[in-house]
Amino acid sequence: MKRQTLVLLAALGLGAVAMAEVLEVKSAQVAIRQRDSNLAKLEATAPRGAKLTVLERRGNYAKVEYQTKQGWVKLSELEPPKSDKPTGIASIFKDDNQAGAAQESAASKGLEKETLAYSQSAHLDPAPLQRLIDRRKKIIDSGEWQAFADEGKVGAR
Amino acid sequence: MKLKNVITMASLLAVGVMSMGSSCQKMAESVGTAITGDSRGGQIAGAGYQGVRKQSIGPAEERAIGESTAMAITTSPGLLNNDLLNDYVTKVGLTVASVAGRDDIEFTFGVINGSTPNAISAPRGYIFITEAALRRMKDESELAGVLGHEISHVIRNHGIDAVKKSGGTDALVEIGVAASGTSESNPLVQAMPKLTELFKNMVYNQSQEREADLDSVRYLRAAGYDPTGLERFIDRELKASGTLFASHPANADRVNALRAATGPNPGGQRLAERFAKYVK
Repeated sequence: MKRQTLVLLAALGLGAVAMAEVLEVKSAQVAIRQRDSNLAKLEATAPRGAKLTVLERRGNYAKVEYQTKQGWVKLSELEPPKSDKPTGIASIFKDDNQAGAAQESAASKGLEKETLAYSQSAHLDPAPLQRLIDRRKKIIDSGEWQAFADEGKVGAR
Repeated sequence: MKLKNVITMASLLAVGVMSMGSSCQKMAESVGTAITGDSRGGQIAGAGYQGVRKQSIGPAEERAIGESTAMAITTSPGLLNNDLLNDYVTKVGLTVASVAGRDDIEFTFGVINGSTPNAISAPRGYIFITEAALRRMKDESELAGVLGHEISHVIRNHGIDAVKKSGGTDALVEIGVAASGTSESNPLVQAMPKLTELFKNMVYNQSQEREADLDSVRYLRAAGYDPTGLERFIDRELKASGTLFASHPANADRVNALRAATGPNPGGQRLAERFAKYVK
């Protein structure tokens, strides 16, 4: 009986491992951050199609494991692995994801095409704005903002 | 304070809303249809305006309008060539944004050239403050208060709403004529000069200003700043402008409303020393 119980427990254990949720990166690149905030220090990045193991969900974020790193990712940037996607009704789900991915992809490429077209037609230089955007990203990803907030004892705790 | 200064300060302090509102409204009317894409777009196209396409405003369009406005602002009056100061304002702005509950908006902050105190916001989180405004402040909580006020305008879509509600004159006709023969022209790009000008000179109504004031107090409190930051800055600027209280009693009400929202001895960080390190 004891042996049977052990076998059963082992089987359940294996089942649990097999059921660990895996999601795939749908945008061009996803930021894995130290906390569930888009202002948290960058822990790692994962490219489109990378498979992330979900450890925990909290609001719009998931705590994931990718290679040897753990961190938080916006759920909106993830999707079920392609092979897991259902068909039929789920085609709506698929279309939504594709639209979202296209949007995220555009966002990650930099300025919108309309902005660049306007910069050409109006002879405006996009470089100062791009520089401001790039510096903002660096301030967040490097953890500089978090250190600044901690030093002043201000900001989301 | 010179009259010119007072007028420029209007967008920040909502002074002279009535006098500037009409020109803003007129401009808003001229581009309203372009960004709301109302049903008349189809009628115009049906009437033979080749090259006219309906243009609705979704997140991508808002982003393009915000970016284009930010690009126009960073070109003229121009982004201040001072990374240290731009980074400081960015950090303070992100601190306020961190408690504003809109993780989906990538708020971006910068200091622009300008000898008069002013602050401008554009769709999707582009926020600028003039160097003059920064140099009139006493501590970080005042800066946080002004940035919080602008963050609220963005989150509540006050600018986009003002343009959408204006309805009115059909800019699509104008855009369509301009685009006729060039069917590849994008109406949004065609409308961009007017849209960016509108957002650069946006004047909000008093109700929107008060909403933004109260949100700012809420953000400051949640972020651990002294929530009287905005009130102290506005009060000092209004007093410095001399007769503004007498000619615009609504401003006194505004300060009183801020005072009521913060209450006595609210506590929180002012961070005057840190502010002085960056804003010399």
